[in-house]
Amino acid sequence: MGKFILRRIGQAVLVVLATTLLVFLGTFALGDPFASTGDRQVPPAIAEQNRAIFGLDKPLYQQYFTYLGNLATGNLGVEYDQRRPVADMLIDVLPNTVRLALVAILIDVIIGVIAGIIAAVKRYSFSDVLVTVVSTVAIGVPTFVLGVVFLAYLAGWGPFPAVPRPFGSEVPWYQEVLLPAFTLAIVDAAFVARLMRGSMLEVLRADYIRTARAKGLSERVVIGKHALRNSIIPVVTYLGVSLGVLLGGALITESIFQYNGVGYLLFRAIAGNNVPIIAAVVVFAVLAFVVLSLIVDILYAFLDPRIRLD
Amino acid sequence: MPDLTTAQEDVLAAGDAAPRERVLEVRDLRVHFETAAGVVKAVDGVSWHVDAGETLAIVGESGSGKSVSAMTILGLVPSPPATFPSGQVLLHGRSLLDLPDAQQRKLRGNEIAMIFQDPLTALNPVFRVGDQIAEMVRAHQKISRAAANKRAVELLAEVGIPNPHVRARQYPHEFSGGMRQRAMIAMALANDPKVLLADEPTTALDVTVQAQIMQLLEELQERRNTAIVLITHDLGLVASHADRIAVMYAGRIVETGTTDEIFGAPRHAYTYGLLSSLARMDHARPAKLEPIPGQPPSLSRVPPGCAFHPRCAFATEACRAEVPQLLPMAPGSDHLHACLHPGEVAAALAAPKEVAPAAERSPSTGAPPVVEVTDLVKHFPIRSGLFFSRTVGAVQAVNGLSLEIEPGTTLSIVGESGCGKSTAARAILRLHEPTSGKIVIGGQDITALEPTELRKARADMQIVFQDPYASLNPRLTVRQILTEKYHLLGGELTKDTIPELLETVGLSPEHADRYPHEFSGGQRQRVGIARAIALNPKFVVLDEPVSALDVSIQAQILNLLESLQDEFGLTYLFIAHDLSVVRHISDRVAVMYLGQFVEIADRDDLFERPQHPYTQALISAVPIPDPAVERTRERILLAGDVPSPANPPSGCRFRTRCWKHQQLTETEKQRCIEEPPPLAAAPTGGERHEVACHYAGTREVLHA
Repeated sequence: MGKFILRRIGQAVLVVLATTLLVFLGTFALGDPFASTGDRQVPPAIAEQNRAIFGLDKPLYQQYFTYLGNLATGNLGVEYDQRRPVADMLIDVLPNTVRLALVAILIDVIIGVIAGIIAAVKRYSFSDVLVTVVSTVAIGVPTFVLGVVFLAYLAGWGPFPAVPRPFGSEVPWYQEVLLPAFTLAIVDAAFVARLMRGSMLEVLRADYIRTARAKGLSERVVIGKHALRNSIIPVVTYLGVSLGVLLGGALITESIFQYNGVGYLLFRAIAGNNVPIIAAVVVFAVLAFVVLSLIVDILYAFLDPRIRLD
Repeated sequence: MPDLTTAQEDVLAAGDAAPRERVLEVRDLRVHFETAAGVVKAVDGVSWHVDAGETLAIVGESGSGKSVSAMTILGLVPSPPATFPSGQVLLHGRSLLDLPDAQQRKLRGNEIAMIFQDPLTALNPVFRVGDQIAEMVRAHQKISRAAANKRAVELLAEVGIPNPHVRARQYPHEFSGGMRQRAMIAMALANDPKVLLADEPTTALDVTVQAQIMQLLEELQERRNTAIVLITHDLGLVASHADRIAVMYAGRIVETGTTDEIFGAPRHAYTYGLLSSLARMDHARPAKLEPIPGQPPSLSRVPPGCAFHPRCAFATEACRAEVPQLLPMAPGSDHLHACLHPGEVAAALAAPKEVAPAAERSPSTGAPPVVEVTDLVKHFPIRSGLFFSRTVGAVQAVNGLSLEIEPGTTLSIVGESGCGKSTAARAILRLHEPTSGKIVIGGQDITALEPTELRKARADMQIVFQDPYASLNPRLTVRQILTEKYHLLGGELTKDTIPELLETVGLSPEHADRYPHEFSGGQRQRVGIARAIALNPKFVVLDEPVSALDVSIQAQILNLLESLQDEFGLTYLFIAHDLSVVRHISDRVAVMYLGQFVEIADRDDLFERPQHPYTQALISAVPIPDPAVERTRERILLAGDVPSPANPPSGCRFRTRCWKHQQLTETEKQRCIEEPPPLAAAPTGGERHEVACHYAGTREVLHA
């Protein structure tokens, strides 16, 4: 297993390197953040000074290597607006995004897995049809529609805080996270439910389930132990990747609810053409995804003893 | 129904005095399934019983209802869709089907246990073997987890698994097929059941492993006085291991009696048909097998009257009119049959069989061989490495094979699974690229042909695959499958070509525009054969062409292959694990072990005078469908499993499992360990008989 992890870390380094190059080409290399535009006139001298401060006057390849060198030491650069270190800003919002992602995944698991199991075990019953229909609808509705509907009808009602927050009001994190988490989780849970249902149906046909029943085990043990352990494997894979995506920031959902996470930070950075933040968030998102994929693969071997990593 | 239970208790009380105790009885069981296509009568009025210490075999082809009845006994047939219009299952006189679910469950795995066909899929892949056995113990006994684990290790030891402590902590995929089936048996026996239902327990295993498993079951049965219900399609297995037999056809029992009665004096036309369609390893071959025509009926459209009548040579109006009852042969006899023509069956049985002339084909015609393979090697590299993989070893699947096949003859390669026989066949056709060696087919050296040249050469060398379900593209019609051949490989295609081709393989021209799923297994295999012979090839590889088919269908396909060979002068390479079929169809037979031939000889010479200890063990392990012969035969049991071809033993590759090696002196053994025996003329065999053993010698294994 050590060998496997080492090889995967090697691959991850390559992926991150490739990403930085793409990010660099897509952000720093395009356009001049200090150029004068129609509604924003920057005196040439000040623009020149700014470029010098941020190293934008150097040749591109030199900028890239400087950027890489900084990145290796954890220095993500300084953003243009207030000239704060980008790393600090990311660290500020990161806990919020982690909370949001974990709560969303938790909701996924609870709703998706249970609905999927019920639908599979009671195939063709009313509950099965209900799960299938609801999940189809949920998958069909785009996140931003769902988010806006929640915002319009639920924000400020019951446990859900108003958006935007009235000035000076404090809301505990678990209340704040509820609406965006549900918005994110509903589509995902629908996927999980379908995946779980299909996987469970396949496993229920397996010979070892017949063996488990022939042993005289109760249906609860047959489903909850023998079938679940086998059918959960593809679901874990999906959830792991899904968590990786969420950690990179849920741009639309966080922005709709003005939730102070990585996604909302990115949204504001894009709006203000604040390139160092955009670059940092994208690199971070890729890194989160790569790490989560690695964890999923290790987990896979743990769940299925037939998989050998080396 | 309390009255009946009391009545049963009386019967049981009376039965206690009898030498054998009736453990399980099935009475007039019917299991029907409501489907869109109508009612499927999977089991339709079946009665049987089994006593303590006795083995009852339920024999039938696929779809005869034999497995469904066993699953019903366990309460594992889901209802709906199943309905149970009638029937009782009595365990020690207690009616099982009337019990509430929770109580049925308490009996399952406790009083009645079951082992299944495929030990690979019957064990849960994600739990340790020991834990799965311990779970069985704890499901029915109130003991601690530690005690259950200890019991699991004891059980593994009892079924002959070496290092049970270590094995208990392993997962099923770390076990070989035979070991897995042993583990299944250990699990089934965990709570000392009264009845063991064994559903095709050895069908997925090699014959040598089958012999081990059946012996184990018999030993355990003797020790524990377990009643065994053996469900199988294999009449050979039944002849040597059953006390009584029930033959099922289309959901009903058509004949039942002792093993000697069923084999010696069958009275139902179907039983007789099954027995005479069987290729036998111990017989000089009859000119042709006598297959049962047609195929088993779909259970949703069972023919009226006797379900067998459309396939029966003796059928009369009366057979069509009503379902014959299962009646005793003579008053008071336990030999029952449901046939209106027992006399004709008896007469047919007594009639002398047409036997092939002794020298049907001269063993060697002296003609130049169609296929010449020299020193064929196929190694699959094993790669490993941190960032860049490099070759660290090789799976030596085929390790230096040389063979010749004369025109119009059949060479068979036999061996256990994993011996490399299929890989060899594919390498000869260059479907696998050989690692080294030389292949000449029809005078043309194909070893180094470029892809375009090779494609042209393929018209002369074709293959029929084992699985007729997987080897035909489901999206193409038969016509498309066959015409594709002509487009790819050339050959004249007129409007009569396809109809003629279909008639040649026993299909009708109307079948051309159907898709593969519309055919039965046997018909699909005929399409596969049509595809192979379409371009008049010189050489056809038959890779286990009948092993996925029912017994009655096997004979049809074997006869077809033989008549095609006679008609078109085809040369066959026949790959098989079934020695009975091999004895029937081959001219020459090669026995393969771990990538090498250990013995090669003309057919009768090989079976009558085998020289290699492995060949002898292989032949001795194959059960012969004749209880009288079986009683006198001795099985040579091989220890353990085939070693990994990635790391074969030094010297003679077979020595780790060789029974003869055990009997040698230390100095003699040394030779086996150090010196690989070459394939050389056999000391006591006939002409053209070669064997690779330092201590080769004859041992009688076919007859007593």
